[in-house]
Amino acid sequence: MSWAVRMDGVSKRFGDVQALDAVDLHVETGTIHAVVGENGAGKTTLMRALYGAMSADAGTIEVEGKSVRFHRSAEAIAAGIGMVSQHYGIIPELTCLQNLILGAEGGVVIDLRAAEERAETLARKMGFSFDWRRDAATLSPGAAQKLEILKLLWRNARIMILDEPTAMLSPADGEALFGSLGQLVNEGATVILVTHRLPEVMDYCRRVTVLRAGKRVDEKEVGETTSPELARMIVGGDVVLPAQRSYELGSRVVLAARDLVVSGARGEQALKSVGFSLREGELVGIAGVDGSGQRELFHALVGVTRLSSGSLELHGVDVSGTTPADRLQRGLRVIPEDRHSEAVVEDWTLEQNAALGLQRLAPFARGAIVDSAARRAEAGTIAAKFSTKHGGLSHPMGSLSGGNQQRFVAARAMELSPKFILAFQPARGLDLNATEHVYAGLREACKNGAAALVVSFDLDELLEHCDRIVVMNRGVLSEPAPDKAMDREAIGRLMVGAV
Amino acid sequence: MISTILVLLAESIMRASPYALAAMGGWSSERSGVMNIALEGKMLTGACVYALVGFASHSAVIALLAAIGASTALSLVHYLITQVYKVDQIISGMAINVLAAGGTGFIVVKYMQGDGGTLPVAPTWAIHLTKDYIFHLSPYVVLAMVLPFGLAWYARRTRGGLRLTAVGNDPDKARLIGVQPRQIRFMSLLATGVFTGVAGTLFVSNSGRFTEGMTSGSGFIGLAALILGGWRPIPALLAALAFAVFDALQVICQGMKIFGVIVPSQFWQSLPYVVTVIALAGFLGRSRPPAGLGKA
Amino acid sequence: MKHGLRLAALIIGCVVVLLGALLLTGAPPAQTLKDFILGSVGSLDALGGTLQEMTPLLILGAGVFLALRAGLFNIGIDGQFTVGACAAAAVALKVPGFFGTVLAVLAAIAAGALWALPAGLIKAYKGGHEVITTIMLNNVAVLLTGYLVSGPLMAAKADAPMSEELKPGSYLPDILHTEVWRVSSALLIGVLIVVALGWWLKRTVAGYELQAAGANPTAAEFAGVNAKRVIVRAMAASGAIGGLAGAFQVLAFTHQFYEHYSPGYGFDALGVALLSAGSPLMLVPAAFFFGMLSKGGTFISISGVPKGMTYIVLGLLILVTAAIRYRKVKAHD
Repeated sequence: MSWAVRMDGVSKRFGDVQALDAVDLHVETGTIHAVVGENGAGKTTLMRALYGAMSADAGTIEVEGKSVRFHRSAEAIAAGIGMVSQHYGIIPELTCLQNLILGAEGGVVIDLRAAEERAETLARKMGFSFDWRRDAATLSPGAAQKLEILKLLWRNARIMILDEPTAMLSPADGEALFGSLGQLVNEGATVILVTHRLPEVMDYCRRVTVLRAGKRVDEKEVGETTSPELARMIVGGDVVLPAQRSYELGSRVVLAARDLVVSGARGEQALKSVGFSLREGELVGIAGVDGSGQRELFHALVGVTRLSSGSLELHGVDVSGTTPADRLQRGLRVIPEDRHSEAVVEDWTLEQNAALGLQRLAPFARGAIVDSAARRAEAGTIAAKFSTKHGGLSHPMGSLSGGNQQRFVAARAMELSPKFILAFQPARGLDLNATEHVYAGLREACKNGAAALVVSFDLDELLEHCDRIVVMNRGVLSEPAPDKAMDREAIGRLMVGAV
Repeated sequence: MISTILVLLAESIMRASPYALAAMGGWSSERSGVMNIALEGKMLTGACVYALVGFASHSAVIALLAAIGASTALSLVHYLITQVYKVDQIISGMAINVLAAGGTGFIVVKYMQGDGGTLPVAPTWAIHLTKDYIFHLSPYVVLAMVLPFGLAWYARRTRGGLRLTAVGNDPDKARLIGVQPRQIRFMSLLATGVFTGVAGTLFVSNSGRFTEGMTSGSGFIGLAALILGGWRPIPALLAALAFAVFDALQVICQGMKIFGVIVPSQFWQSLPYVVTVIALAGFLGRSRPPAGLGKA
Repeated sequence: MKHGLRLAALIIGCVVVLLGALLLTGAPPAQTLKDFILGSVGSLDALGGTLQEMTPLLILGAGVFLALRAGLFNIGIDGQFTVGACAAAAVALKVPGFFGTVLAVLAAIAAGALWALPAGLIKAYKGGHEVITTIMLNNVAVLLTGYLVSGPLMAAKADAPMSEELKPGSYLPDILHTEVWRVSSALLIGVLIVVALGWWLKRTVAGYELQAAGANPTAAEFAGVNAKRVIVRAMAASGAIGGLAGAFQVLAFTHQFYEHYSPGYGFDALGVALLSAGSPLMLVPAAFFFGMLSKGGTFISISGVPKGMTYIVLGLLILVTAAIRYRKVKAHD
């Protein structure tokens, strides 16, 4: 057996977080090897270490039998390693061809004709087709992923790291991707697949490495394990079922949306006539593949983007044209998607951050004046709710780890008697325990008369915690048939638009 | 009539040259993602050192090299503080302008009081455009007019140009693909130093002397041309030429009545700035800066 | 640690440059320093001069500080100062007396705000960088006021572009005026502005929202702050403060307007704002220090140290301050 990659005892520390703790990874040449684990388990960090994008504190790395130590990605690339990162390395301002050849132009002066010829040959071999002179900004997620694969081939990469490659793909595109990968592996390439989707592991991979909290749990032949066993290893013990709703829904409609139409960034219709309503006490999940219009719906409900048409009522009051400030006043609370850019000011103290979004409400404000004493007290309450670990309320938010920031942001959204909580991946970066707490918090708020709408790309998380699941696909919202309301398969079909 | 147009054209090309060179200096820097409001200071330094060394050496070549060296050194200081010390690019640009103004003022007071004799200048080709107008074409002017075409080709057809564009748009993604942003920016700021050094030289060799603050905002007009040209070399050259036409018109129309009023010279002088503000307001089509401009 | 060493290297480098420049002047460092201190705070007369130099820097520093808090670099404070001064001079010359002075101040505030407005609007709604627009507008301000003061506003018997002198009735009063020195009420008002600004930023919801928009505009939008509107208003307010400083400069000190009115106050004001290290009250000592540099610099230039030296000191000082406080730090580096 020959090994493409052998990593032994790799460790990496970020501040007070041990991101990798003596992790081993052994990848057989000519196979697809899966690396699985929860968000924050250390998968991406491990791959960045292999790719030279970050240097490990300890451990050894062997590539094709040779001991290596990469200080930058260029060295890893020279050794035949290629990586497609989660957020793609495509630069939208460059053309497809420029993106393809960047970093491996093959000479001081670029021979455009020769480059295009070779690009075309590679594309044809994989069954892809590209308009090479167009800006890469025009590519769909699926096409961008294909271009990423071609980038690896262009560089003659023999070892290919793919970080969550199907996260932004439709299932059809995902299947096509694995077809291409299979073809490459048959020709002798090695693929390391970072994923948290177990079906991909079971269907396409030879071996699998499980990470949890920065440690390697196990490395197995896929043929010798099962999905439930992997799931257990990933979360560490059997998955506990959370308490289901134990109260009657109220009769009042909290939020009623009718025929919402919203334009996307490129002027396309991102939401096409979306309508739904939430009752008091209800916890509703929105499932769907990333990029199906959840983000646009979320932004429209917060009020940071305008509705092209349609109406929105909060407790029977039309708020279609109002500002986020007005909606916050009426009891809207938000747990945004991107904590770093949308939910906190990292330079500010916890105390200052406690007021963000609530700054105009009592007790944070008395009229136009800030009440610092009340703010300090509230900050303490918020930090305590989900046991945020912090060095003091006057420390900057940036000094907290991502998970602790998320706890703080989630707790803040449950302050000052919320009426309608809007959450985008509220458990992002949280361990299982904290996830349970956050959902329990949402549940408690609902019990007290609020309603909550949760967007997540993790269908299982929604199935576990929500009263009801609606599905978003290509800007259209649909609901599974009543007898299949919590049926994983039925919902999965709706997610991809298959009826 | 034709002779008037010829003269206007020749005058415009003369006046456009420092703007164009400054704009190209700005281009190489901003394309790599380093915002450059220090073009003015770099030009001023080049001009001052050209005069200083020119008086001492009586050689146009040595003076030119010294000017380029000085601007480049200042540009590398710019690299050091923005890339190694990660100082905000606006603050560092302002600081460099002030250092240049202070340093050149210092040199003038200390070393250039009184008559230092005549300065060596590069040879020019005298072209008799009309009966009483001779166009003195200097190699610097030729360079200023040709350089943008060379850079346009460089950007599109070479490895360095592609990497420059990539780094300016997204340094992080470029790094992941094996391109070193810092290395690219080092080279870019080096080029900025060279171009602004030549631009400074042009000032002194045109007027035959150095005076305090003599670049009088040309670096900012160069920056304006760059922006108006959408951060592309050839359109930036055209913008520089357009600004120079305003300049030339100002001289030609001095004291002339247009529609019965005397247009003050300040009107012409402010046109480049006003046009740039209008362009930034989006009234002249979308001018798109490099996506990573100003990011660390 | 590594950054600490680098910083030390930077500071040493700056000191070497300074000493080198000082050596070139041939002036003995110790004597120069002594002269500098004497010339800036060594006597009541010198102190009065320093306080006068400090006044515009303090007010302009407050304007820049406010904009910085909203995430904006108001490089344009120079132009706003200039149009404000010009407007104040024009109004005060037309309308003499106390009423005219009040009117002149209001006109200057309006002119400064208007001059800043395009930059705010373009930044908020078109994404055009405020630094570029304000640099352009600064140049336009110099040219426009240069035209006015060499044309319609030019004094009858002047041989250079300058306005008529104001009548003493239009002057902003001094709070202290003796044989040897005087302190203008402009300085007092400047200090009051700084105190008010500090209170407003810390104690009001609007101040909180402005700083949220400056620190993280996207998060501010999610928190119900109209970040675009904040940008426009902050820019206009900063410009208004700049215009006010211009008015005070004319009404309290120069008593006339002339071409190239600002000797580069915009950069000094940025320096004052940076040096205040994020605390509004620190604007006062920072501005005082810059005032000293200016007054003391002029004093030692008489004994052969070129005035350019002051700018070198300023430039280096700001670089070091910015290297400490205004770094761009990223997660993966």
